[in-house]
This record gives sequence, structure tokens and C-alpha cells, in this order.
Amino acid sequence: MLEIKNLTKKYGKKEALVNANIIFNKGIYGLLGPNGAGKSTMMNIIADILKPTSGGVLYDGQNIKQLKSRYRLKIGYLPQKVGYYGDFTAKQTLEYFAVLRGVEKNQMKERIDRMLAMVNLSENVNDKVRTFSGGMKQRLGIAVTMISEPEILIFDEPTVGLDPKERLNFRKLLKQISKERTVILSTHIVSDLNDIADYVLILKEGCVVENKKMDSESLEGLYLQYFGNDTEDICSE
Amino acid sequence: MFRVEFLRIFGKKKIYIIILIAIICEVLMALPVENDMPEGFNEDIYRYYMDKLKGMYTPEKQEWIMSEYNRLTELTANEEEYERRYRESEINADEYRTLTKEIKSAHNRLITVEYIVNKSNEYGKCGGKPEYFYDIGVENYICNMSIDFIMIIVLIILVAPIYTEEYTCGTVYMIKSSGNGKGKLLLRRIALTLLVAGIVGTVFPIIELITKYMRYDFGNLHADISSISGLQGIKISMTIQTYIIVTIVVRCIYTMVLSVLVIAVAFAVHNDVVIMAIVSLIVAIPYFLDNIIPSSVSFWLIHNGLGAYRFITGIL
Repeated sequence: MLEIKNLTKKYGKKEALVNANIIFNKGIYGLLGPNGAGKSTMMNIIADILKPTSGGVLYDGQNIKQLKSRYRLKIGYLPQKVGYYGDFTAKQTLEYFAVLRGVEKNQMKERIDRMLAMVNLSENVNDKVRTFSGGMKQRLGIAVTMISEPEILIFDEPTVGLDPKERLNFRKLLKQISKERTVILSTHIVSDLNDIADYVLILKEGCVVENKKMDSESLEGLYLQYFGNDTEDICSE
Repeated sequence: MFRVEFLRIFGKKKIYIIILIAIICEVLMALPVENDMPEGFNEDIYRYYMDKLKGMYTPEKQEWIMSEYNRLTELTANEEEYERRYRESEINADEYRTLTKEIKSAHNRLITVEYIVNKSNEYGKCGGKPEYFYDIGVENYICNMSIDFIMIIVLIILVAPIYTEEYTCGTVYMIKSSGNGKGKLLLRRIALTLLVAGIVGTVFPIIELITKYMRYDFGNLHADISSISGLQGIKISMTIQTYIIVTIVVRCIYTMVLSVLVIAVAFAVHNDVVIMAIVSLIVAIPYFLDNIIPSSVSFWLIHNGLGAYRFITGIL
């Protein structure tokens, strides 16, 4: 179980996150909020990249500050702005991250083949990543995130830059991989959470203003309640 | 992890092209041996006398070269006197022709022989076990060792991306959130950096050495280090070969220390070009102070706070 406790993050005087408290169990958590609401900050803290100003993240009751790499081996993180080593092939990319994510050598080949098949990139195994389209890169990102089969998956704005078809494929893939896992998915696009999220969290100016079980029918209404006309950019995409 | 990091840096074709270009540049830079010899010095004449003197220094050999120098000096000094004698028919045409030939030869040899005399005088005073041999190449190699900027550029090109590529390619967050993406990875990267620096720091001086060896015969590498002009002051007795090995080891260590500087700069700035500029500047400042700034300005700078900096970089 993952828990965010009294989490606050300040950049100078600006508060990006204010006293956030969330408990994550198994299932898909949709983190919804407009740009600048603090979603990426929260994701980066959960992924142990950023240090909080106060409060902390607990994994099975222990602060991740103490767990360090033991915690990071349990997570898979796909950041918003993701890039790859262009000279690497898809296989080399997965091999590189498999090593970094502690995959055993004897499991490596089978795991890489399985992940590539899962994201439908088996035919591109030896293609250089620089030749990949945006959608292929995103699928490769999911494979990288999944390579160590982590307990917790964190996706930060994973559908940005994808066309509607790729976005739909991503949602299908996410549904497929989310079984028996905690998936935290941040987005500013309401439709990304339809049909896949189990829980929805709404972030406004760094505060968690809503934390409830998913109800797709009222999701947009809920969003309008908090952001009013600001939803324009949210629904238009 | 070490292997994948190694592949990340050395799995690119462009790296090998850069290394190849750098090696060609290193060879070209090492080819024209800069001669610190006096004007009029002749390598063939030097080789001729060195072959005659070959072997350990002895006072007899010093006396012999001194007498040769006196003979040549006398010949050139009496040039006008011989001309007068010929004009006044004190010597015939054949004798005068022979003398003219000898004088011309003496003029050609004088500077070179004077150089050998000075060298012999140094040998006589040094207290070591100097040997005469044709030492132009090896002396030039040893006495012209300086900062190898080609090597430094190659080092930065190879080492900086180990730390910066994740920022330029956008993989940094995925790496830092990985189980082994922080401490363990950093240790492997430092090990890789030191390995690369060690190889670069050894290979480039060896390329320079081989190039000069092929251009000039190094002569007797088993001779004592006191045989090299300017190194007679070294108190430890060692062969030239040992001295060269020691300098290569020192340059290798220097390169490894420099790679640590590259790591430090790479942590602060994540751009290869900026790293190249900063490191080159740091390395070049002492050189700049010594060689480019007028000595009065340099003196002023050194005595106004840069002394300590220069001392530290000098040690490095």
C-alpha cells in the first residue's frame, strides 16, 4: 500500500502541493487537474525524483526516504516529457532499463520479448528508437515502465501528443496491465479516465479537492464544479 | 550495468569517427618535431659526431670534441689570413682550394660542434652516467611535453555524455526513478569515466611517442636520463625508457584527475559544449598565464590571488 501523508512542496514561496493526503490501494487512480495544478510535482515525489518540503510518501508504512532503491525497484514511472537514446534499438532500450530496474539476467530475454509483444513492437525490435513515431515511443515507454513488472505504475500525462486512435489503444493497454497493481495516471483530459479509472482524484492549486470512486457520468460535472470555464482546455482535447 | 553504460557511450559510430580523427590529428601534431636547436644546427653532422662519440661520457671524449671545436674555430678565424697568403703566393692554388673546402666545412660544422661541446660540459658537471647517442627525437619528445589539448577534447567528448546524455535525450526521470538509477549507477559511471580517462591518458601519449619514434630514431633508450639536456638535475638515476614510462603513467593519472573535473562540471551544467568550454578554460588558464599574458601582467595576477589557483592546477 502506498500512502501520501501531509505532503507539501514549495518552490520558493510558491506552493505546488499543499498538505496532500491520499491512500493508494490496488486499482487505477486518475489524477485530474488543469496544467499547473501540481500533478507532475506529486508524480515526481511519488517516483522519488523530487524531495517534498514536508510530509512524505509511505510504502507499506515505511517512508520511501529510508527505503531508497528498495522502493524504486517496486515502481515504474513514465514521465510526461520522455525521451530515449536515439542510437539505441527498442531491444537495447529495454535491456538498458531492465538492468537499471533490477531485472535478473536470466529473465531478461523472455521479459523483453514479452513486453515488446504486449506493446505490439515485436517487429520493431531492432529498429533505432529515433525512427519511431510518437505513438510507438509512447508504447515503448509503457514497455520500459513495465519491464520490471512493478507493483506501482505511475503515468504522467501519458496521452499528450497521441492521436485519438493511439489514445484509445493506450487506454486498452493500460486496462490490460493494471490488474493487481496500483496505477496512478495523471491527466488534464477528462475522457482519458472514462471507462478505465477506478478512483478519481482532483487537484486544484496544489490541493486534493476530491478523492472518490469513479463515476464517469458525473466526472465532467464534478470537474465543472471545481474549474468552471477553465475546463475548456480539459474537454477540448 | 557497467556493460550497458559502456555500450551507451561506445555503441555509436560517430564516437569511432571522432576517435579516428583525433588520432590522425595527434599524429600530425607529433610529426613536425619542433627543434630547439640553434640556427645552423645540422642533424646529419650531429649524427656523425654522435656516432664517433657513442657510448659513456669520458673526459677524453670531452677533450676530443673540444679539440675538434678549437680546430674548426681556428680554421674559420684564419680564413682571411689564408686568402692573404694565397694572394701573396705563399701557398699555391691547390693548397688554397683544399683550405677553402675545409673552411667551408668548418663553417657548416661549427654550430653543431659547439652544441656538442656545451652538451659535453653539462655531462662533465652533472655527476650522473650520461651517454652520447643520437638523441634528437627522444630529447624532443621529453623536453616538449605539454598539455595535450587533443587528448583533453577527446576525453570530454567521451566522458561528458555519460552524465549529460540523459538530460539531452530526456531519459533522466526514467533513470532516476529506477531502482538502480541513483547510487549504483553513479558508481558504475564513475568507474567507467576513470577507465575511459585511463585509456585516453595512456593511448594518446603513446601515439605521440610512436609517431616521434618512427620519425626519428630514439637511439639508446637504456641510457641514463642525465644524457638528456635539461634533465641532468634529476637526482634519481633511471634509464630514459623508465623515465618515459613514468611520464606516461603521470599523464594517465593527470587525465584521470581531469576526468573528475569533467564529472564535477557535468553535474553543474548538463550541456556538452558548456562543459567543453569550462574545462578547457580551467586547463588553459595556467598555460595562458605562462605563455600568452605579458610577464608583467602575469606577475601582477599571480601576486594578486591567482597564485594559489595556479599552484593547485599546476599540481593537477
